[in-house]
Amino acid sequence: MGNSIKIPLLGTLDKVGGDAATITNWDISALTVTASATSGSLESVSSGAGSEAKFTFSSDAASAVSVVIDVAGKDYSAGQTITVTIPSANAINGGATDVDVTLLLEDNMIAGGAFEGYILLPSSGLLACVIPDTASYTTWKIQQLENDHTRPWTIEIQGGLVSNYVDITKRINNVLVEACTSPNSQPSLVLPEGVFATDLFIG
Amino acid sequence: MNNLLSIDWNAGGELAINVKDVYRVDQEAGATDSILCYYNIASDTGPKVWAVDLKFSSNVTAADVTQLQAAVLKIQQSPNAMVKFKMPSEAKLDTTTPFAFSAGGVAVPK
Repeated sequence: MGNSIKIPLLGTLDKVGGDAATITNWDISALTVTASATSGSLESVSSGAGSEAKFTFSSDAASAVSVVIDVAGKDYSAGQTITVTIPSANAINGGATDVDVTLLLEDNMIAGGAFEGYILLPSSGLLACVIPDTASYTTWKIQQLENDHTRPWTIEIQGGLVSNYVDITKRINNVLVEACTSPNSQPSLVLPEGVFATDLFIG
Repeated sequence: MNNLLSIDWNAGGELAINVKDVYRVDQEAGATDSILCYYNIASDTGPKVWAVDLKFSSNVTAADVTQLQAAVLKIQQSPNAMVKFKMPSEAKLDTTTPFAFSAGGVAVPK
């Protein structure tokens, strides 16, 4: 079995990929749409552990609806259903009753794809070093080198500060060292209290 | 097989650099506080390779470069190992930019 680094993820909705912000993935069939209206930011509930996500629904002059993720939340996973209740008094709700709109979550709607991500040690290249983010404290990289291309593994961090970036960097450095030096090891990144990895991707 | 050097970091503690496939260590031209480690890994079409720019918080010396090259060659004889490397001048990796890679790599030095 090859070595890898396990990155526990917070389970936030992927605001960049946009799949949770694609209205066709939502069930809004119960909504009677008022044209050229916006709902404002609405709270949601989920059928699982996911919480805190907020959404804004808007309609154009032709009553076509779009949705924006205002708050990406946490602890979401594939299979959970997010429900947003749009009250009858809301501007976008043209009906007489409160309406539930729902989204069934799939992996590609969640940052990093799931509750955890893995950085695999390449067979033909190498993981070179950790590059800390000393400007915004949000984006750490583990630099992978291979023939003809570079693959910077990017770990997005929530809770990084000037006061803890050294600690974060050393913890990422430590799992890199363990994965590179211990045969058949899959070390897990443990971040300081109050700091979370929200996404893992190459780029 | 990986070969790591652990070098003092000016922000505190140490940071590791994987020097597997590093074949040459040079002081970067025009930069008194940087050392380039060249990897025998093609970075682009043409004779370009990957190199990591080790930036330090103070100037490096010829002895730093020589000893770092020696440490690279030595650790490459020990698969999956890491050793702590201390610069003779006691320079430490830069606080904000300890490592930097050039997009597309660097031309192979002569």
